[in-house]
Amino acid sequence: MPFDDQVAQLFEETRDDVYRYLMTLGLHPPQAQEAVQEVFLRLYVALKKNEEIRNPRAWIFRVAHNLGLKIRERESFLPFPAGLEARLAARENDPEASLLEHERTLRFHRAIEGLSEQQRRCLFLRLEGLRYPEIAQVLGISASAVSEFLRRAIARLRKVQL
Amino acid sequence: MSKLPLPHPAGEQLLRYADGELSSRESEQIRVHLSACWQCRAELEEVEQTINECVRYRKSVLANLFPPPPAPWCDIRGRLTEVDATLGSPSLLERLADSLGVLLRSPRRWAAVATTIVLIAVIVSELRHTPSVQAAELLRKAALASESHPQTPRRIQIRTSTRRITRIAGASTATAAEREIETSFRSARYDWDDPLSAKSFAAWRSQLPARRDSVVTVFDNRSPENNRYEIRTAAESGELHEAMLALRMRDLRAVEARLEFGSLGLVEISELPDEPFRAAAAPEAAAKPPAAVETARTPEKVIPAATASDELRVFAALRRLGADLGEPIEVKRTGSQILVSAVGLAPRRQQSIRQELAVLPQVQIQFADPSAGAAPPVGGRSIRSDPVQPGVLRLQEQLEKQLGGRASFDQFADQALDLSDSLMAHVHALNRLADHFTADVERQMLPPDRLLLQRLRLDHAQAISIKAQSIEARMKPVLAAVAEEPGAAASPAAFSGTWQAATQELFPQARRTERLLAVMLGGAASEVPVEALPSQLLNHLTQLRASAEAYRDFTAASPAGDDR
Repeated sequence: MPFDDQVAQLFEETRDDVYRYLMTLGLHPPQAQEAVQEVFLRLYVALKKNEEIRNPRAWIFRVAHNLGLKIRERESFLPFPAGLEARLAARENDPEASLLEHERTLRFHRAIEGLSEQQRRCLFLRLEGLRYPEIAQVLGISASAVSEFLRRAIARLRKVQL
Repeated sequence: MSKLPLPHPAGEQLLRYADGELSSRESEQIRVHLSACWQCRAELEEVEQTINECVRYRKSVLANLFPPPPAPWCDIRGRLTEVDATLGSPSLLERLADSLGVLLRSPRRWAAVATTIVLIAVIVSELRHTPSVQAAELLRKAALASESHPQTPRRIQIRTSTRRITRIAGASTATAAEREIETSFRSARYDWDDPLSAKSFAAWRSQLPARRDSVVTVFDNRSPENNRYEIRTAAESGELHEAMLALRMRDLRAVEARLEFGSLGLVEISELPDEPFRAAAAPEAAAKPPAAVETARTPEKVIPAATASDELRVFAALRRLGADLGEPIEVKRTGSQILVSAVGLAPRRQQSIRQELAVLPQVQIQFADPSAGAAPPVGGRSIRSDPVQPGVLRLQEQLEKQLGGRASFDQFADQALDLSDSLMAHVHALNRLADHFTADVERQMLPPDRLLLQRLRLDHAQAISIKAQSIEARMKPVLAAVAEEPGAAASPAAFSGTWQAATQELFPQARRTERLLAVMLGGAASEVPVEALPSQLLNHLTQLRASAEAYRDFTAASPAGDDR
């Protein structure tokens, strides 16, 4: 498949996930959206330069992560998850979700918020389908550190489920 | 007393097992253990449940509660085509990477540019001519420049590996040695009569069936008047394998040539010092029309007038660096030169600007020391200097309560004011473009130049729109809580006519909003009754956001090549 088709297809499939991931890093919607587009242009350039990309999805998240942090460094953003809790709380009146369910989600959300930054990053990257060595590469840590962060994250989240 | 085949797996082993991150041997051991051990199976089940919960969270919370992308997704294929254009030569790509690098290292610039990287790629493709285009362009300008010179014969020196000849360009060939060299020139189709000239070089270059060009800029730090461009062209066939022509930067005069012939070897041609009457050259008479020069007997240097196109390229170069946003950099077109001047720039900034502008002909740079004069503050805000009015203070206290304390308020205010600053910087930049490229000037420009100008404008327009959105999104919930009246719906300006006029319409709106923000968050003196401030600001923000969008769409939609 020609590179432009590959990139266009990946863009279709992955852009929303990358966009959300960048928001979890604390970027604002416009910045996150621009960054997503930039990531795919970079992917295209890399492919054209014959860089070896084994797992494009992992590559995309790695580049998005680094770009996101750079953007965040430059403008002091609100920490994760800006405004999410308020929106979550506002859903209380949503008749679709039972009160119980709503409380459970809220509790889970607070537990996620309570994770350390590294735990949360490992978790979100894992949720996006990255394998341990790939996460390790994104975060610049070892694969065994990734597995340790994930274990702790899961252990903490487990406690909030009743 | 049955013994389990293996001890219980350690904490993260189960997770790694579930995630398929174990080696097949380890994995097999755990599988065997699990089939024997209920406790660990239950444990694994709980891990899986937590994973399910995380997946559910991603789906229901992250996917639903994060705001959707503010704009429709771009047409990625269109962007890829644009990237293709920049990838024509590898150095273009490196240039792009470099310029991004510069932007990334510079915090304020990054903010402005993060939103526009994609457009920069386009502009770079427009401007970073491939070397062959650059070479042709330089040669064309140099030929023009020498044509407007009075034709005084030049004394040149020609050196081969064995001989050294002095001759007057255009004089008939006298000696046998000269005749031998002449033969090589003729068979290479390189003009022997005037070998040290852009015209001859260009004529030889253009008849080549295949060639490779490169253009480098050589700086002479000790004597900047010797700064020069070196155009190198390699032929793939013919008697002359490779040729280099050096053009002096300040007037594009051909000052040296090196020609690599197949039979003759290297031939170097250089200009001999001017004859006495030329040494006492008259002062620059750059702007004089050629007609006046022809009647004059004394040779004066006449350089082609700098065009709006040259000026536009300076603006585009500054845009690439983000140096058009609030930095005290002036651009002025005077006769044959584009004068770029600034006071008080950091040395590194100066250097990157010099580098960026080096490839553009006829640019004169004047950077002055800060001590020479204070840099005029551009779009600077003066907050916290006036005593805050009591009414505004009460409003701020209300906001503080909402935001959870003074520190949060301060942070919130800083961010909003920074955004507003950055928005204003783009508005000023647009205004400046409208000043320099009036409708009349634009009408004279060629379509590619107009397109480039449109891209620069769009770049700013998008940044303005995004920032206006961002400010509104931040301020709206906070203001709505303290406003006496709910915000009115926006009635965006319907832009028509020239973009210069549209820019003039946008400017006061942005100014007004900036002012109100400074009153509300920075405690600047208010000319608005305090009670009305939140709802007024709310309305202005909505209005500005809508106008910025309309302006952006107007910019994107107007065909760049039309004559309005």
